[in-house]
Amino acid sequence: MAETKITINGQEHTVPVSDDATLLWVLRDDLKMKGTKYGCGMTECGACTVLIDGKPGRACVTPLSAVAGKEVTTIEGLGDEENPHPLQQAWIEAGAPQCGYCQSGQILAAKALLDSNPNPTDEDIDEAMSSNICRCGTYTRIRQAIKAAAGQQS
Amino acid sequence: MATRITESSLSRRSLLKASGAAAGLAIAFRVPVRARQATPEPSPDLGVVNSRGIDYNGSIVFHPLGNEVDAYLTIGEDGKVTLKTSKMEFGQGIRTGFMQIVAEELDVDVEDVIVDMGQTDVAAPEFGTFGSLSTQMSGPVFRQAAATMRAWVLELAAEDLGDSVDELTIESGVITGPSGSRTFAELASGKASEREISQEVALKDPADYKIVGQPLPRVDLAAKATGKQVYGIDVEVEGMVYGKVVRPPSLDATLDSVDFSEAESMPGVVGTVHEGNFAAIVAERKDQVEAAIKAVKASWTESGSTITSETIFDVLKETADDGQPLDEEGTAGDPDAALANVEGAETYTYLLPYLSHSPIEPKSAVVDVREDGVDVWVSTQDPFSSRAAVAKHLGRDESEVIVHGMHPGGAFGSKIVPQVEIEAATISKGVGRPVKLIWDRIEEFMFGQFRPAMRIEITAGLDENNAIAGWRYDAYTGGYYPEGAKVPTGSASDWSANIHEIYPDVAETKTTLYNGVTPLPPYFWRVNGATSNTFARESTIDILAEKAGMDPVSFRDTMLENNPRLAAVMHAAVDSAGWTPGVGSTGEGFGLALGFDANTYIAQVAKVEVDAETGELKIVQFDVALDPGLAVNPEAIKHQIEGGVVQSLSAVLREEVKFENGKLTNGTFSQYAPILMRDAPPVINVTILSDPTQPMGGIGEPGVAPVIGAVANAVYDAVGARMFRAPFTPERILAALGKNTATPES
Repeated sequence: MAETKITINGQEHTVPVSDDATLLWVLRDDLKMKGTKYGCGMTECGACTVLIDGKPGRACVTPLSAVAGKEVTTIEGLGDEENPHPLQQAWIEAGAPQCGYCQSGQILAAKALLDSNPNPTDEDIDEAMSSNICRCGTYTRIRQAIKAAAGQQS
Repeated sequence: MATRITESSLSRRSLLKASGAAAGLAIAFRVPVRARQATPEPSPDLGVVNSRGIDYNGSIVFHPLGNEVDAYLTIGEDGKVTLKTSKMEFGQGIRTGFMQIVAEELDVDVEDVIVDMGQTDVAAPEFGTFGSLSTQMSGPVFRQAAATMRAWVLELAAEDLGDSVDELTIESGVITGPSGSRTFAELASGKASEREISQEVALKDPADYKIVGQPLPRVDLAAKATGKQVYGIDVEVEGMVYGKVVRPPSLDATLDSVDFSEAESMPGVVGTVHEGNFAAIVAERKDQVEAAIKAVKASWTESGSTITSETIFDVLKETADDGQPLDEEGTAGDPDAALANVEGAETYTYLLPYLSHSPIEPKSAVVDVREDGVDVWVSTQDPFSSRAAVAKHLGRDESEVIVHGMHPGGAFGSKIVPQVEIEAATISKGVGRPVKLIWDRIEEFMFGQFRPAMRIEITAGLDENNAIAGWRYDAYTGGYYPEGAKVPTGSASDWSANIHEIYPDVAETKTTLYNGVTPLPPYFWRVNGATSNTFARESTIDILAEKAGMDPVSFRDTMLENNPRLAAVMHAAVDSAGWTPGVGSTGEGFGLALGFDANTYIAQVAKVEVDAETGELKIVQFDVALDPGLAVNPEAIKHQIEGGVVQSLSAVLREEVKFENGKLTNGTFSQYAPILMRDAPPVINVTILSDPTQPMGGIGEPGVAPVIGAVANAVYDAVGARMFRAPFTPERILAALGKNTATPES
């Protein structure tokens, strides 16, 4: 039976699939990490955004072979309700989520931005965040949360 | 919260069925529910379900006391207060709002109120979660139930302590009197009692409110920022397999034959289903079902529809029925006669396209059809419609079906008509296992419903006093007579069509809604009819204001003498915006639009920049003032209004469903192109003029409707381009400016 090893949030897992399996469904169905969401399956909405070696990637089209030997970070790797990551805390304080479905992807896209650019301008934020769709219309709050988190980091 | 696992349905039901009058104290109450007398029979042909849906609209009725439809507010032996409701939370904040309403009236801490949502085996079939009706309709009932509970626990404590009720006070669930105190937990302990809601019990004076009216953070925020919120798509049950439906190439196609032979031998495939127009394949894993569906060969006969997203506006008029008058009793006049001798009376025609809801979570359900019962987990706005539809489709009694309504990842009107759960039920019955069905993005765009296209013609002019001499309003749409429906199923397209809802004194009006052919199945989209009607009405009012030589605010003031709450929000919005219009070619403009929906008065001002060379439209600032009556949670209201503005802006700037030959030609996110962060206004100011003595108004929809009118008027103020067709793309703005609009490829 096929087996593949992957590293998620610093932990190595062996999953019972070959390495052409899609990262998104391995995360959700094999590892029960359901914070990474399916939105379009064609890289167009950003709901499945994870960090691959710190860079945002789309789990919906990523085969396990593409993350072999790499570090994958999902929303579960940041923090939880008791100990949220500063970005998650900023999200909560800004009251950013409405339905919340796109927010895991939004938060990871924001993390990639702040990790490489701790004090982004409005233009930097717009540029980095404009490939993640939110249909509830929470963009202004997300912008506010990123600025608050950036302020804390600097 | 852990993923739910199916338990034995019978044991679960017997456990929960009794929960109304289980240990503790329970107040039984009735909620506004929907009558289902207008329900059409679902077609046995699943192909029709796929493309048309089943409509379960009906009228609102209040069940008389004694009816079997009960919901409960309980205090358990642990002192926790539980409210069971079939209303659904999807980020609009009603869970938090309901907690506040109950906590306030009962004098318990908000944290001690539990709102249990969407379980059809323990909640009552309230009106579904749409139309901005939750707080408006159910809020007052919950408030009365909590007041009844308060009176009851006071009575129990008085008896226990030997004090009189007027000597007692309640704070944080502790009742204190001269002889001592009792907690809710102590009073509920060892009891299993139930009482009816009393309409006689006095409600708290809003002036004494400590919890209602506070901007509390929504209780769902932390789960949503940490990936822990569970949505319908996240449900897993033991033994579950993935289904995938074989879709036609175009709408209304019929399935001639399907060949599973190659697909059946693919890895993980566990079965297939073929019933009439419906075919599906099932595999163990998601990747496997995705691969298998590609190997299914099906042949279809297409409908050959020739209507396109360009010809629809003529089709709506050509196929219109005799029309349905929308004027209220006694207000209809004769605008044609009144305008016959008015110089400058004109007809203005406004065109609005079909829109897609496109929530980021597509339709998703897990259904387990067994001999002993049926469990349905589905992202839905209306769990009881899901139950009715699944039961009918399977030929089972509704009492055999339990719907576990799951938090939708966005809905906007797209998760009301039962579709995915019927399909999943059909597949589960076919393969004898629990089935998870997730629509992909192409399916989500094409096989759900759409905000209907509309063509609105307004004929109006001014009399010698610069008042509106006549107002003829003809709205053409193809809405709400879905195929298979034996009766009209409600006409949301008429919302806000009648000018008297906004400007009560306009004389000589005639308002008519015409229904014509719709090639795409129509349904509610946010506040669909009101958006379209507000665009036409508020644009025309601005046109008339200019003809009268007045600014848009003063002109509206002359018509709002008998609508003071609307006049108040108009002035508040204008003040907040720093309103300095000046029609011309500055490139910067302000636009105003008013609305009234769900008992909430609202005014919006858009500040825009338009590049007259490129036609590019940028939203610089948005100012909103609203009067929702009693504002339960100002923070949740503010967020809902912001979201409504941004989603509506997406429609105004970009969104338009394009189709030909029964197929969508822009049915992906990159083609449909909803707005992104870079397009959203940097500033949205929301002013709430709350009057706690007035009934609670709705919030979700009022924020959506006026946006398009405000932006249209702002574009005109900026560059003098009058917009008559949405969305306001650069090409259309240039065309309105009389500039060359040649598309790049021509």
